Amino acid sequence: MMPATLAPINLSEFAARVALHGDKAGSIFALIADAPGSAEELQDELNVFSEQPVRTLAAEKTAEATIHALIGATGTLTILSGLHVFTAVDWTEFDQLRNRLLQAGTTVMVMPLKTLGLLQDLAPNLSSWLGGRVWRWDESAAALSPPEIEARLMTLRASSGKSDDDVVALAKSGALPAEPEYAEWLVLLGQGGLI
Amino acid sequence: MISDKHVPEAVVDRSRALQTRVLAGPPLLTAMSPQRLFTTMRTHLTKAAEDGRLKTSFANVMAQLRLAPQGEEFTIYGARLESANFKRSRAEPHFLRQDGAWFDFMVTGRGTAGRGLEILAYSCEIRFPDELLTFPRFVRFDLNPPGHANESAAMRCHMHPGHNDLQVVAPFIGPLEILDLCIHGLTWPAKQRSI
Amino acid sequence: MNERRDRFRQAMARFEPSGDPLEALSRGLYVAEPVQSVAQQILARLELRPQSSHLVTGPIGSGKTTQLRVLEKSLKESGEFWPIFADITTHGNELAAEGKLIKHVVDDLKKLRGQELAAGAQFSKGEEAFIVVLGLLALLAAASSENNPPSATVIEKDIKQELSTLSRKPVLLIDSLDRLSHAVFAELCDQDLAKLREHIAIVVVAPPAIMYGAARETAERFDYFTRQTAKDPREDPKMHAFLLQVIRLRAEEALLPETSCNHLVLASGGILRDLIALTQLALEEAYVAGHAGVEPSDVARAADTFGRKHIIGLDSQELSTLQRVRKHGTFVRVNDSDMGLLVTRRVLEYADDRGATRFAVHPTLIPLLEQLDV
Repeated sequence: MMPATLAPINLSEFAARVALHGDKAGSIFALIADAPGSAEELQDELNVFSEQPVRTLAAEKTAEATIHALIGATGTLTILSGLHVFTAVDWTEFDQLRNRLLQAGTTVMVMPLKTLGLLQDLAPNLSSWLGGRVWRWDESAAALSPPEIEARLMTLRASSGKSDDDVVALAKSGALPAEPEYAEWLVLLGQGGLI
Repeated sequence: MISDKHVPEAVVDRSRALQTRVLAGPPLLTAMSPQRLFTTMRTHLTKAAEDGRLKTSFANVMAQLRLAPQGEEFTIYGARLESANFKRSRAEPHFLRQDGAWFDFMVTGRGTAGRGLEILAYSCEIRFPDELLTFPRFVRFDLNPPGHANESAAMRCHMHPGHNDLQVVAPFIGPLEILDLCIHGLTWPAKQRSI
Repeated sequence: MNERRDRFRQAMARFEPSGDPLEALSRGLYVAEPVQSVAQQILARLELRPQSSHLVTGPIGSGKTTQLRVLEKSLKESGEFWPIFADITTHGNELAAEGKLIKHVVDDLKKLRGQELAAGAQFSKGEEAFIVVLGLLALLAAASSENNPPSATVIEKDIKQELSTLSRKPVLLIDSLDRLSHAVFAELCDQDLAKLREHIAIVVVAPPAIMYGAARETAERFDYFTRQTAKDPREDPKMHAFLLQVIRLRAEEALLPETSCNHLVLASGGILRDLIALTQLALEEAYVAGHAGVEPSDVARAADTFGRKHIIGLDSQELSTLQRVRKHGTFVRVNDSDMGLLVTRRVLEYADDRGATRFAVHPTLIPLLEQLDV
């Protein structure tokens, strides 16, 4: 992992971590995500893990209005998006009004990386409350890397006594052995079309 | 396995009809992409870990659940990446249930544009605790890859009740149903019958 | 039901960085500092000079609000003072006009009193009289701005009369003004805070900028200026022991063994809220990893996540500054960016018992800076 990047996390793990904290007034988290629909996908995931009801909220025109929309919803987990529109004045105001979040439930802020930078610089008290509860949404860790693919192919070759070319030839001739591992083998070779 | 060579043709015909009944056509999951299937399976397993149904920590769930996307075809590994654990050793990666049963699985499929996912092959084995003396050591559900030369008589979709050489026809089980079976199914009462 | 999850969840709830210090105090989670605390210092000065004015500042997350709440409790228990705690959570521009801060304090107190009365609390004549005094002060401040001296004189007389009826000496503790810009705060010092100082004791939490440069002049308008300084647990054994105790009071040894606690204390850099945040994160890591308690590897992951969040958004100049601080301990504030590094606690300022200061980067940044330097 590059030293100047945020810790990556997949959506299930993030949702499970947030849910682990339970219902805690004023608790805040941040998920760095750029793609449209991130808040809705997160809501689907949180609905599985959270014991609290989950709602989404778009940032209002001002920080005060946004906090007002958050207050009173104790016992509810709110996913707050649209923070990329906040100006420097908005973040300064959010910071000044930070204590009002103690009247709100758990808040998960979904925002692009640049917005996190603004939050850190202009809302240092809010940033301090956030602590280290900031992750970057990243699903790539689950995908096999090229070395892992090669390692798996070596395992398949060793256990079967066959080579990659043998398997491809068998597939082409319709004589592929009737075991699921051979379908997997072809996929790893990029020859899934032969299945 | 009913072999073409040694049985009357009528038996082979009925075997084909049986296979058609349990696997009517290419097993399709509609409105799914490989990534979506993967994340749904991950949520399912993580939730099971969170709820205490699995003893496997959710960090290990993340580590053991992997995806090999290769073009349209993909394979999802559930603790099967390092080996297929033919020796059924607990030292190999696996998912562990609260009641001591343990399992691993693998699913290979193909994304078909506009039609959803076609499941091409799977293998899922659940093993029972040694203390269950009257139970078989394991049950394995397999879907062999299509297009095998002997598919007409062989059972593409089958299960092994406790022995690699013993096969019984089984219905097609979708990937999420596989997880349901592994996590919640195949349980036993506190007091088992003698046989 | 997941007993393990419940156990970790309960432990994590005692390490909430956004937690209310008043709640922590009422739950018995406060640990007295190893040397004379800010609360103790101010109490001692108030006992000698009951109408003195006090400015408190310190790094974000260093425990200023906690000290204010401890002071409030000590003042109540003394039998000599009426402490009134006001949390001014509002916009800076709402306080701009003269009289606005005092009016805001009065409104807040009335709202709080309303809630407490509804909950069945009862108040003495003295406490009620104090609210009246504050209301009069708000009028006075507004009257002064309208250039209306005769009314002001009358109001001043009323204030002195009301104050004379109080059996205890009032002390107004004003929190959250540290989030204002120095410019707005300086105006308040000239206006409403000046008006308050003439009549009652006040203790005010001020912006961190007060500690540095030209902003220091603002501090001179108060009788006393107290800094909640950070002490480096890597070099100060008493601070180290104090922070260990903070953890131990909130979590059992089985969940947080001593080795991991030591790692957490060192990673915190001596900043109380960072210790709390890191400990909570480490508990979370331990849970995710399936550990029975927090292991050093869990602390390392928590510190890494924490550090990464704090290194994001820094430009090359700021990174250079941090590298210099890391390697040589040298830090000279030449611009707003440098001030920002202090305010956001990427650079920590430590003071020893003699008041000598030195600078260091936050410990969670060190491994990341080392990697960037390769």
